Amino acid sequence: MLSKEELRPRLKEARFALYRLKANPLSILGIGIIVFFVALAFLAPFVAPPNQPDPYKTPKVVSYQPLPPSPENPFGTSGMPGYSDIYYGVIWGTRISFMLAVVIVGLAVTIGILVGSVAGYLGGKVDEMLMRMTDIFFALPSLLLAMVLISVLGRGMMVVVTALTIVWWPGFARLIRAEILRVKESLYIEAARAMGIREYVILFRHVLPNSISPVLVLASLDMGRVVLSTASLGFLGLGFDPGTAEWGIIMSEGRNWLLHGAWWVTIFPGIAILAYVLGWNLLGDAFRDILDPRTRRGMA
Amino acid sequence: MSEIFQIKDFTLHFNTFEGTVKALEDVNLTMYKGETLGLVGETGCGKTVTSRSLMRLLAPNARVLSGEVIFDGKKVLQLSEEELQGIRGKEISMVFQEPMRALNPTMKIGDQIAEVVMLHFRREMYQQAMQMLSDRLKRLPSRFSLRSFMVRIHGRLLKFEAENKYPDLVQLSSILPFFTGYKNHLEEVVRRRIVEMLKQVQIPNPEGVVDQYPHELSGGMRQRAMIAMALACNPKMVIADEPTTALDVTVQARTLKLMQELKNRFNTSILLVTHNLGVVSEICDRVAVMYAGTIVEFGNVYEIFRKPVHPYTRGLIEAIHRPGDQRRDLRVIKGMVPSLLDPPPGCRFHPRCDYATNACKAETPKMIEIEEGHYVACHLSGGCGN
Amino acid sequence: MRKLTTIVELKNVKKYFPVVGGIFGRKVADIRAVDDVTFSIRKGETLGVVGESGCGKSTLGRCLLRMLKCDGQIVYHLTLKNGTREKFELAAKNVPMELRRRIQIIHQDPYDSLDPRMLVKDLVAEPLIAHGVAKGKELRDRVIELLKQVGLGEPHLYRYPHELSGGQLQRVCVARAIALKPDFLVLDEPTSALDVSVQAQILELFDELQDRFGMTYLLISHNMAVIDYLSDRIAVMYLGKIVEIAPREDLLKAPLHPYTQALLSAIPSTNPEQRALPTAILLEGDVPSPLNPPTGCGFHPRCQKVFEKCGWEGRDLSAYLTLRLTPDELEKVRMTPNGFQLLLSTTDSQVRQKCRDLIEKGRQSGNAMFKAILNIQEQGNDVKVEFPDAESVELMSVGSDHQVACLLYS
Repeated sequence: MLSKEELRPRLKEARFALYRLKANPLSILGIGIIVFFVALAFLAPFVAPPNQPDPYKTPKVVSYQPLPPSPENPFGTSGMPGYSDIYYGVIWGTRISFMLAVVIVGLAVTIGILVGSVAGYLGGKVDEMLMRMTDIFFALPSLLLAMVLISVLGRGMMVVVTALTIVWWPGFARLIRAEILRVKESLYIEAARAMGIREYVILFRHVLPNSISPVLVLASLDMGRVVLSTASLGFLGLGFDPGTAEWGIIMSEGRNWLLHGAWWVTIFPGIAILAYVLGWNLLGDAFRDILDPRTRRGMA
Repeated sequence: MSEIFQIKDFTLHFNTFEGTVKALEDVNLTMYKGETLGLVGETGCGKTVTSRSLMRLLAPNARVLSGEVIFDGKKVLQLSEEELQGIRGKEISMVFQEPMRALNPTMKIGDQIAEVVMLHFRREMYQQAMQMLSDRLKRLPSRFSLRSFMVRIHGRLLKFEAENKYPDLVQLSSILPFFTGYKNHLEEVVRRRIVEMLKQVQIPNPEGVVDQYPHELSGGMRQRAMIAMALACNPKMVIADEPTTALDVTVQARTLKLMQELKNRFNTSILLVTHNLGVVSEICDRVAVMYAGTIVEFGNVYEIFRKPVHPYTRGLIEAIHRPGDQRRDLRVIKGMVPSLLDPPPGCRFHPRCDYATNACKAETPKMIEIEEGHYVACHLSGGCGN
Repeated sequence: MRKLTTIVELKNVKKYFPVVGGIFGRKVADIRAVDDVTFSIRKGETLGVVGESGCGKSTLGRCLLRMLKCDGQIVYHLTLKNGTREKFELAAKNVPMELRRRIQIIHQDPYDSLDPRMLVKDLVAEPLIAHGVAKGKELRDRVIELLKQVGLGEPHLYRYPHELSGGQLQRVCVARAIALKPDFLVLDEPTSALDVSVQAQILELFDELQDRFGMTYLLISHNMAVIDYLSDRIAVMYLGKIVEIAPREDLLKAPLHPYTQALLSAIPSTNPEQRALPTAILLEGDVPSPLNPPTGCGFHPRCQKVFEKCGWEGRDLSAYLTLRLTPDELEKVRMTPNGFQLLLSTTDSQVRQKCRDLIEKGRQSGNAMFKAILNIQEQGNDVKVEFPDAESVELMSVGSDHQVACLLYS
C-alpha cells in the first residue's frame, strides 16, 4: 500500500487536475451532465418503476395514435407499432446506454492497446502486419457490418456490442501506436536500456504509462459517440429487440408520426441523446486540457 | 547621452496555481542610445521578463504593481494595443535563442522576412515598385505598345492596392490572366530588399537562401537570418535573448562579431540578455546583474569584471573556470536560487551570502551609486567583503 | 609511479548512418558520424572529448555503451571480484549484465533522461532492483545513502522530476548512475542544460566522486571550460575523427592542430580588458555535412593554415568559383565536381574566359588550392581541372603522449 509520503505528491497532482478543471466552466457543465445521468441510471427503478419481469422492456400503452404528454405518461406514448411509454423508455434507456458505452469502449480500448502497443513497440514486420490488419478493420462500415452480423447472429444486445467493438478498436490501436512510437525514442527509455532493464519491463513500466493519455481522452469522447452509433442502429431497427427501452428504438417508433405532430416521441429521446453526448464531449475536452503537456506542470 | 529606455521602480507579480510569483521587485534600469547593455543572471532571475516588459509582451496572469517602463519617451504600460504593435518589430525587435523554434519551419526564409518587411514598410515597398514601373515605362521604345499598356495598368493596380482604393477591382484583377502580373513587381522589389539584408548579415548565396526552408540551413545561418529579420525595420533597439547559447563556440564568435558590426552600421542599441558572462564581457559596454527578480549590481563592464562588489556578482565571476586555471580554484556559491513564491525577506541573496548581517535579513537594500556609473544594492557596499 | 592500466580500448570504431533514397529504399550515402576512431582510456583518468555539433562526440559516447551498434572494436578491461582481469568485447550480441552494471552514462538533459511519472525514490532504486542488488528496507537505505552522496536527502525521495530544479535532477541522475558502483562513466554534456553556478556544483560533485570511488570518466562537452576543469587528457573531434589528443596542459599551452587553435581562440574571455574576439581565428563557412565529408583532411576547406597537400578536390574549386561569378554567368555554366576533378561545361566563351581568369588570378595570389592543381585540360566546351589524389589524415605522434592528425607535422 502507498505510504502517506508516497501519497502526498500524487494528491498534489490530483489537486492540480482539479484546479485545471475548475478553470474551465464548460468542463464543470460536462461533469454535471454526466453525474446527472449516472444518478438517473442508478435511480431508474425508483423514478420509473417497472411493471413487468424484464425491466428493459417498456410498458405498453396500447393506442392507435401516440398520446401526448399527460400525468400518466409524462413524456407521452408512441402508439403503433411499439406502444411504449416514452418516459420509461428514456429513463431506462440511460442504463442501457451506459452499459453499452462502457462495454464497447472498454473492449475496444483493451483490444486496441494490445494490438497497438505490440505493433508500435516491436516495429518492423510485426508492425506492418498488424497495421495492415487494422486498416482492414478500419475500412468496415459499422452499419453494414451490423446488418451482416444480425443476419448471422440474430438479434440482441450482444450483436450490437460485437459489431461496434469490431469497428471501434482500430482507432485506439492506431492512437496508442503513434504515442508509443514517440515515447519509444525518449531519452529516459534509452537510459533505462543502458541500465540493463529488460525490454518487456520497459514496455510496461515506462512506455505504456507515458503513452496512455491520448487514449484516455479519446475513450471519454467515444463514450458519447458510441451511444450515437447504438441509437442509430436502434433507429434503423437493427440489433435490438423491438420494445427495448433504448433511445434509438423509441425514436424509431415515432418515425411514422413525425409529420403528424407527435413531436414527443422523437424529441424526448433526442434530447437525452444530445445531452449525453454533449456531456461526454465536454468531459473529454476537459481531460484533454488536464493532460495537455503544454499546460501541465510536468507529466506529459 | 540620451536614454533609450528607463525602467523605474518596476514591480511585477504573476498569479499561478501555486500562489503569487514575485517575479520582479523594484527594478531600476536605464539604457543609453547606441550602447550594448548586458542583462545577466541565471534561470528564473527575471531578466527575460524584464526584457519582455519593454514591449509589454507579458503573460495574461502578470500583474504590474508599481513602476514605469519608458521606451524612447513613451510610457509602454499605458500604450494602447495598436500603438504597441507599432513598436513591436519596428522600434524594438527580438533575436531569440533557438532559431529553429523562432522561425516557422513551413515557410521559406524569404517569405518570413517578407512578412516583417511588408508589415512595417508596406507603403515604401509599393512606392518603390511603382517607381520601378515608371522607370521601365520610360525606357520602353513605344508608348502605345501592348507592353507599355500593361506596365501602366499594373502601375495603376499597385497604386489602388497601396491606397486600398477599389478593392473589388483589385481583387478581380488578381484573378484575370493579363492583369494578375502586377503583384510580381512588388515581389521583385521586396525580394531585392531581402537579398540586400541577407547580404548585410554575410549569408553566402543570399539569392538561394531566400527560397530555402529553415531546416536546410545550419544553426549559425539560421541565427543570421533571424538577425536579418530583426534588423529589417531598422529598429532603435534589438533585444537579443541568449542569441548564441545554442551555437558552437566558433560560430558564436562569428555571430558576436557580426552583431557588433551591424550595431555600428545600423546605429542600433542592443540589450543582450544572457547567463553567459563570457559573451557579456566580450561585447557589452555596460552590465546589469540580476538575482531573484532584483538588480543587484549595475555598471561599466570593466568595473564589474575587475572589481565586482556585490557578493553574488563576485560569486558568479569566481565560479567561472577559465581554461588554464588551477583546478581547485573554483569557488561555488552555496545553496540554490530561491523560489519566487516565497522569496527571502530583505535582501533576496542573504541566505547564500557569506557576509550576511541582520540588516540584510530585515531590510531590502536600495541601489546606491558607489562610484560614478557603478551601482550596487547591498547593505555592505563600499566595504563588502574586503 | 602509477602503472597505466587501460580500461577501455577503441580500435577503428566507425558508426555510419545510412541514408536511404529512391522508391526502393536503396542506400544512397552514409552519414559518417564516427569515422575510424582509435584510442584508449586509462583507468582512473578523465578523458575529455571536445568538439562542435556534428563532430560525433555524443555518438561516440553512445557507442561506448552499446546504445548504438558500431563497427570496429571496443574492448573493456575490468577487474572482477576475484581479482582477475577480464576482457569484455562490446560487439557481442548481448551485452553481459556484468558489463552493464559497471559502465553507465549521464545524459545532458536531466528532464528528458528521467521518466516523468516516477518518483525520485523509484528512479534511483530502479538499477538496484533490475540487477537484484537489494530489496525492502535495505533498498530504501541504499537509496537514501546514494541521495546523500550526491548532496540531496530524504525529503527528495517523494518528489516527481518536474518538482525539482535542473541541478537537483542532474544529481538524481548521478545517484542513479553510481548506484551500482560503476567503473566507467560516460558524461555526455552533463552541465550544458544547467545554470552557471549550478554547473560549478555539479562539476565539483563529479570530481569528488571520482576521488572517492576511483571511477574513470569519458567527458563529452562543447564547453572548453568544463572539459578543462575535469580532464586529464583531451581529445578534439572534428567531423567524426579525432584530430588531436594530448594531456590537458600540453593541449592548452601548445595546441598543434589548426582547428584546436581556432577553437581555443574563439572562447570568450571573462576579462573585458583582454577580449578574445578581436584576435579570434574566425573560421569561414560552416561545419560540412558528415554526409559527404571533404577528402583528405576533413578540415581543409576552412583551415587557416592549409597548404597544397591537404586534399583539395573538385568541390572546393566549384565553391570558390560560384562565389565569384554573377548569377547570370552561373546560369550559363555547369560545374560537375567528380572527386578530385572538376568539369566546367559552358557554351559561352566569355564565361569560360572568366573562369580561366579566375583560376589564373588564384594561382598568382598564392592560394594553396591553386598551387595544388595538377593540370588543366580544355576539351571543346569543357575545362577539366585535376587535383592529386589524397588520403585521409591519420593521427601521428608528436612528442610524449601527444598525437595530431595534420600534415603540417608529418
